[in-house]
Amino acid sequence: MSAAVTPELILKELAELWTGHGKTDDSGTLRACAMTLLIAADEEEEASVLDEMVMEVMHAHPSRAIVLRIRDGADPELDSRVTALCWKPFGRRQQICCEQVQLRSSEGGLVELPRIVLSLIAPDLPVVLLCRSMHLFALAGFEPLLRMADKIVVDSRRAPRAFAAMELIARQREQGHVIDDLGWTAITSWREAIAAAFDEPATLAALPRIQHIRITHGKGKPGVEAFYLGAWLLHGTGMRAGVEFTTGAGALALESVELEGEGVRLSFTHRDGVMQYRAEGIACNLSFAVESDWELVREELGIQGHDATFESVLPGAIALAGG
Amino acid sequence: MAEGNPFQDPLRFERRAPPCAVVIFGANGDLTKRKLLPALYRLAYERRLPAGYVIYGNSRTEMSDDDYRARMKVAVKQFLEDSPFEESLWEEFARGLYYVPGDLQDKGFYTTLAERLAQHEAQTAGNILFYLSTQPSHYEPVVQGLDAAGLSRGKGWRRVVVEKPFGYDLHSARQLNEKLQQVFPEQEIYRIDHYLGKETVQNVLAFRFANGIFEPLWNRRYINHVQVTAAESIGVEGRGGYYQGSGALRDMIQNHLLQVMATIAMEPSAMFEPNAVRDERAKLLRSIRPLKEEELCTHAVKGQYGPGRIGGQDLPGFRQEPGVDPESQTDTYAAATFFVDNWRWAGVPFYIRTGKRMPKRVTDIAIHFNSAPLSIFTRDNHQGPSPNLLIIRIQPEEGISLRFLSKNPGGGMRLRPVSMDFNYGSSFGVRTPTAYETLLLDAITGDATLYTRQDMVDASWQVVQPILDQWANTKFDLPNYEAGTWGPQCSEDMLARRGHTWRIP
Ligand SMILES: NC(=O)c1ccc[n+]([C@@H]2O[C@H](COP(=O)([O-])OP(=O)(O)OC[C@H]3O[C@@H](n4cnc5c(N)ncnc54)[C@H](OP(=O)(O)O)[C@@H]3O)[C@@H](O)[C@H]2O)c1
Repeated sequence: MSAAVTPELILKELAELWTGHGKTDDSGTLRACAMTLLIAADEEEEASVLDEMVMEVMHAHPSRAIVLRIRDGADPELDSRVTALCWKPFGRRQQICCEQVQLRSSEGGLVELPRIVLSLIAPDLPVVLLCRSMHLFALAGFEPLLRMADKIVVDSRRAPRAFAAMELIARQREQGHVIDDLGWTAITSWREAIAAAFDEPATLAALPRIQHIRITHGKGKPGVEAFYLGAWLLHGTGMRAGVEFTTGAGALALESVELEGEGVRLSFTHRDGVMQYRAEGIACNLSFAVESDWELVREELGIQGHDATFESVLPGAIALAGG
Repeated sequence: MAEGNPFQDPLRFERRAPPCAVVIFGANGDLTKRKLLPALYRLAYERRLPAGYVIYGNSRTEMSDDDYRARMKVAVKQFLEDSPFEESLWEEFARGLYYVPGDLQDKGFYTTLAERLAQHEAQTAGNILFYLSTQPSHYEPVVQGLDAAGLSRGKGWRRVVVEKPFGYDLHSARQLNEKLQQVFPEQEIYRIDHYLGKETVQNVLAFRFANGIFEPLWNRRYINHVQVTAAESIGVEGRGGYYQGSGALRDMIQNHLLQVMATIAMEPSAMFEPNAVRDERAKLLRSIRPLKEEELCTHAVKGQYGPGRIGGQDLPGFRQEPGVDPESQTDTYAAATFFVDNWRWAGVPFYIRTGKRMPKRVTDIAIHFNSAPLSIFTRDNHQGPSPNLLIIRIQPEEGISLRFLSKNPGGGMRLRPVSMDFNYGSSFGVRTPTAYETLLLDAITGDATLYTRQDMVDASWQVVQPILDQWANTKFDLPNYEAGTWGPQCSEDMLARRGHTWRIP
């Protein structure tokens, strides 16, 4: 570890940041922090993408953000940077500011990080670890970071193999971690649209007759979203139906879902920001948003503790991906 | 939401409105422009309104749908709170906005309305929310007109939202209720009290019942007294004529502040379920001891502002406001001391005050705790009233703060009160919905938790009625406070009798 980066130094820089703000800002700054958000990302991930995500997430969940950028190799060089993230909510004079600490380390130097991170955590508030790259789980030094977190959020959509990513999530769960997946968060809008259709009593009454679930995904192999959605639908139909994955022509992870059985056929098709829902005597368009990464992270941070639905669907999704 | 839908996931899914039509009576009025339309637009912005929703406005002024849309666009732009206005979203929103002119006293109007609404039935599934945002004298003809035109029942649900005031006194409130219930069942009548829709008032329930540490202190053993203040810096703003017939006690205490008091003092309900919560609120309101005749002079204060000067500007007194009787006896300030007759609160005074033309706009609740049983520190330390004070700020800066004594830095044991602050803005970066957004969505989704039930209205009228009766039969020497001050001296005297003083919020 470079002698220059110590917890005391970073904490001092953080304190100076606020003193500086107090001197220059006369309209008032509200220092906000509701959790520690640890973000672990590969060095090559584009900084501007990550910065934008952190900033957007802060608006809904003001946090002390500790961003760990991990590069290949074993060199012991470690550096840190402290910044304030500030914004003015619409119509307010006072700005809200959060702190961001960025730490850069090599994979080999990662073992040094947990001790520094531990001293930077905002006391008495939840710690959420957002892991942008699932291969980090394999690194020595990562496990203590996992143990610090009250909740871990991964993004299996970024992993090369859906099956392996979901299996890793299941293993972490078995070890007692609360772990959620943005791949699952990404299908909330689909689930919500499908659930709303079953609020109609006649559609709900037809549920036991559904035998076949067809999920059309974008070009290539089905991704985690397709497996999660398939497993969730199976779960909802009491495991009676069969699931079929078909390949569509577009680039979206999910294109359509059809539910069929005797005398019942429902279809949900996503096209150009609109969800078309069709059933016997019904054809309507629902507004539908494909959410960006930061919107998904916002949703996930709004949930504390276990997500029982996700946990019950995960084994089914692994089975679909493995089968 | 259908019972038994295995796909529902309340942890994740936003509460969304079912298909419906919202019909606003008084659609050209102040409340519609300032609150209702901005709230509906914002719900649309957040995609909380169902696809194909329909909003109908009614008032007498002749306007086409497009005229009405143009008028409401101006209003929404002006009154939207903490939120940007988006032209494209407005265009989309306005497509569901219609207007049907007509006089509420005209029976034929309701047939026209029924015909217009029938055209949208496929979209709305026959669900209709009627919003009475009109003068109270219209409530009765409206519900009867709706009934006669077959609009009070039908294919979907039919609900009616009633704006305050719910009656002018206990008797008229009961009469109004009878008329409403002749047409709509109680569970479909949503009496709105927008104070209950405020995030911080709702947060009182979370604060009290989601934390284990406050409730043990929340009783007569530890709490000395409670002060509820709702102060406005503005005067009657051109509505003097209307205000003259109402007054501060009716306009604020009978409804909003007694509901706030009930929220602070109620027992926990077994479940967070509409009728369970409302049962507890109602029980508390029924436990407020109505003032006895001999207490009326000492436990209630009537005030009216006279001319004053604030920031170099001369301000008129209430009697000088346009449309106000120069001899008016109307209360622009009201304060009262209430006691709750139950084991938890016996003997604890609840002081409530509200007024216009006060030094600032503020609404808060101050819980004053008892002093430590024995002070072991020296005489030069904090002497006055108990240092421990919990403030729940409702507006403008929502938050909670706790005052306690702390040692001054340096030698000796010198103590000084300090404040520990929680500010909503510093923990939740997102915008909080306005009370009308919350309440409209609640009514559309059929959640009546934050709406007042008839027994609550009845109980709160019973509390204020003796004061109103006495005030009606007494000639007061008014005005008795200057614009820009904290109210009449007799209000201070009311607290001084028990050794208390009003805090300066
Ligand atoms: N303003 C507030 O902030 C506020 C707050 C709490 C509660 N409230 C309550 O909400 C209700 C409405 O208040 P408001 O301030 O919006 O009143 P308002 O400005 O007087 O509006 C009432 C509207 O009703 C229409 N109207 C009057 N007589 C009518 C009739 N015979 N037939 C059809 N329409 C008629 C009028 O429009 P036309 O002239 O075009 O007919 C008028 O624009 C009242 O009960 C009030 O106590 C208001």
